[in-house]
Amino acid sequence: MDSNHQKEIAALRNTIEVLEAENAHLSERAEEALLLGLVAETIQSLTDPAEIVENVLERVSILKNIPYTACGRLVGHELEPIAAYASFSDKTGVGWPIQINETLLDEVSHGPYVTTNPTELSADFEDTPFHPAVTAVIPFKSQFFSKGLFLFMDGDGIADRLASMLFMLDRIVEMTVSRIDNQYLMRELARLNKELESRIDERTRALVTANQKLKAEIADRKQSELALKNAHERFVTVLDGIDAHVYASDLRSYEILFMNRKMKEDFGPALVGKRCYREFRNEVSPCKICTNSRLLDEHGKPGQVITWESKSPITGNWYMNHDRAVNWVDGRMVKLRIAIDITELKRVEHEKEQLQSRFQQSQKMEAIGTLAGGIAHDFNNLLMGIQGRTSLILLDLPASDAHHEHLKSIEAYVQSAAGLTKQLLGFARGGKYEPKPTDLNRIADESAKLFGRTKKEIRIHKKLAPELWTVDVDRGQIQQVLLNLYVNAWQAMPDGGDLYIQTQNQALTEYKAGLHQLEPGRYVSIKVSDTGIGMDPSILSRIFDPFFTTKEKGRGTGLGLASSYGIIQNHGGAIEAASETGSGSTFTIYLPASKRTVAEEPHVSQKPAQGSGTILLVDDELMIIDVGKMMLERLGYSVDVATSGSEAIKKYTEKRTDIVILDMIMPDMSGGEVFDRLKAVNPDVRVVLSSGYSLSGQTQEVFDRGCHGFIQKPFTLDALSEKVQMVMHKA
Amino acid sequence: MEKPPLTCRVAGHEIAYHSAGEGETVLLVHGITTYSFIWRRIVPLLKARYRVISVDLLGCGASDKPLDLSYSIRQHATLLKGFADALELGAFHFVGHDVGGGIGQIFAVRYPEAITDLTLINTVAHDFWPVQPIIAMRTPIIRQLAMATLDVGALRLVVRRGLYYKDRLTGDLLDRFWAPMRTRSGRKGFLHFADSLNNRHLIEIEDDLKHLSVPVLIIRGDADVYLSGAIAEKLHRDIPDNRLFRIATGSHYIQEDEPDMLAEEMMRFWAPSGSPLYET
Repeated sequence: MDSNHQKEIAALRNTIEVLEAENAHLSERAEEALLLGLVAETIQSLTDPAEIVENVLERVSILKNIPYTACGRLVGHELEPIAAYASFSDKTGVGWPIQINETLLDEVSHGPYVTTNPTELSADFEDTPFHPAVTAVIPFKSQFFSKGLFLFMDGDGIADRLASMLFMLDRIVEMTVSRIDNQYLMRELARLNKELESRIDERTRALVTANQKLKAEIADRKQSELALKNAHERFVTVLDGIDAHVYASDLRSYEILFMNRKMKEDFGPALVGKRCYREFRNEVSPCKICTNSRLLDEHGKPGQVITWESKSPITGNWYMNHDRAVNWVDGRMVKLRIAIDITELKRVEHEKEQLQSRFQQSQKMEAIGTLAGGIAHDFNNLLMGIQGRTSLILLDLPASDAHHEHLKSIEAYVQSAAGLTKQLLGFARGGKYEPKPTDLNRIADESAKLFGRTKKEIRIHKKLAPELWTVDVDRGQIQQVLLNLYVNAWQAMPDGGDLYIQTQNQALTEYKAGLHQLEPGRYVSIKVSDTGIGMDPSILSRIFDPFFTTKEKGRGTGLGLASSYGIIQNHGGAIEAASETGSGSTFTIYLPASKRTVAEEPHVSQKPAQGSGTILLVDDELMIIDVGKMMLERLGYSVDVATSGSEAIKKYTEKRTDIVILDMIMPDMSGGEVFDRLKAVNPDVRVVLSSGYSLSGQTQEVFDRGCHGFIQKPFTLDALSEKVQMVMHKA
Repeated sequence: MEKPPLTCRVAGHEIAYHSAGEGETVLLVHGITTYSFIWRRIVPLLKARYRVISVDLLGCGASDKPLDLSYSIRQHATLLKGFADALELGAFHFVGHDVGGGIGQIFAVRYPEAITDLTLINTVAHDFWPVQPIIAMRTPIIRQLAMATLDVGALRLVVRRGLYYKDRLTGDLLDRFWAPMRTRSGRKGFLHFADSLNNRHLIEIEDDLKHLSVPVLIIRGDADVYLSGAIAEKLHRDIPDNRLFRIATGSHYIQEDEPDMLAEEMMRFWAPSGSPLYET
């Protein structure tokens, strides 16, 4: 082999060595890359930090043939174990405890470091085949482990080998710590997530619970709303069902807040929101009678119910209002009014009051009448005496006598006084003398004519109903009543005016009749109206009171209307007055219709006629006996007298007379009883009743039982003559 | 469903094994990276005529994996003697693969009376084992083995290289290789097993082999990339009574490549002269 050849071979060997070295280097790098890949792959599948470290340590140990690897948390100079891997032992805790001295700590504070100095780092490998000679120390900081060290220990003392790996080991440590921190953060994240989830769960549960509660509440509320709606409907139904006005209005603003059906019907359907005083009372400002200010107590709380009456200007009806304050649904204080229509009640009450008043009036009239009747009776008896004596004197005195005129005047005064007592008796109870079937039109007509002749300034308008029903009346009395009314009208029209006289047939129903305290049935009415000054209610209420007069003293007796009242009452009729100040007055008389036909007045001679026959004059008053006996005897009759009922019966039984003139009122026996006893003696006995009272009650009854006539004291000679003659000649 | 292994306590350690069939005892001893599973295709072929025992060496399979004990070939030979004695196997046919072949050589030198013959399949021997240098685990194969403990991909590469028929690397086969690596103790045991290998013990018996009194069958997979063909050739030259049987289609894990050929050759080897099997 030549030298060139040897050189070539040497060169080739050199080249091969270089290539092998490069190859080894490349292999090393490839293996490192592989190791990093393996480590990365392994730790990716793990989560537990200690397990990650343990696996990394094992892989590094195996692949880089490093017998002992460890990782610990650095606490002072001590390394607290996290994990370790000893390829030579299957025991745990190999190598620990591990202490680091200050020098090494200082070194590693600057970064990875390889030490061969056994004083810098002490570890316990007793009872193992391992004797560390070189240690690569790699510091780390971790969120999970705080700060610590990775240790890689080799036993063969070749520092270069570990030094050459340092960069790679550092990367592995970095990767591992990153993974652990990552895991830590992931775990933290997971924990926070879990916490969040748990809070969300909690909140969700709370929400679900709240939701359920809400649902239950909604259901409850719906139920309540339904109940409320039902209650409201019931409430409205009830309120609408009431035929009274029910409304609510704001106490302050007067705004109408509620109206019931009846209210809407009577006032209008759409008034809610408007002002009550405007809509309900046509006012432009709150009513003076408004109760709003009185509905609250001193604390501003709802007070007492105020009940009052008012008349609505809208409906024209009367209402009983019950006002009270209530708390409205929105907290406002409102007035609740319940107004009950009392118009009909009012009317009935008014009528009742009228009835009451009329009843009281009639009671009063009756009492006064009784009194007046008594006075008139006694007074008539006295007048009878005066009249009789005067008449007898005049019969014997020639007209030329100086006393003739005085006596005539006395007679006239007596008649005037008798007129007065007549008035009194007319007013008094039972003042009907001689009722006869009468055409009221005729009396009205005659009286009007009589009145019209004296009062020319009064225009008389008559409206007399044709075919007017007959009435049983004492014509003189009725005429007197009508004249009283005319006079009254004339006095109300001092400057003249119109007088209306109207007659009418009236069929009074129970109701209408009741208003006048009459029995229902057929009546004839006569209405007298004037256009005079009228009367105010206070006068109107006393118009029929006896001795009540509005005229000045001396111009009226105050008995005219009172006697008219009594006369009509005594006829079973009624008289009423209606008047308003300035609008004239109207008097209406109701008289019961009769079925009888109108009787013609027999002709009565004006002069006392001489008669003959026997007469028994019965009277307990001696004055009447004296005067009557003389008057009858002057008229030509044979007269016997009796001063009591028993005496009269005795005398009549002993000696029957043609006529008995019988006083109605006697102490021992009444006229009626005497009449019956006389009838028992002689059924055809002719009796003329005589009384200071008018024909009424008992007298009327006796009269109706078959008396032939009635003569009221005081009677004139002419009247006595006429009556006696009429009875004497009756068939 | 495979039966769970039987165990036998030897020198304070549990040794796992499987036993099948009746007849003369055949002890099947695996090498590195494998355990008793490597015989699963062979056992069914043998058990009809033989009592076949496949053992898990200490640190492998289901046997104990102490780290304070050397897993040297001589140690394994000692333990296997204890195992054979414990099970009272009597004279048996020793079959060793890879490191198991190294153990067989020591076993045959030290306890020739305990075996009737020795079969060495792709075995380590002399100083050729496996590829220099191995002790510091800085040889590529050892690195690969180390890596294989951590990375199934690396292990797959190792196994794949050891097969002639690459398609026989099924998921099931890989799972069996990978099973010990699933646990830290399995990984440590495996690495300790590798670390403890020392060809010093084989070199020591180099001369003894030349005087070996038992017949030896040497089977060489010619496609084995891990062990040199020179090993088989040197053994064939040194051992007095031996036969070299070469299988061209066999790689390192020849049990997976050609189980039938292996079984047939072994049974022919074990068969008495004049038997039909021998004739073929």
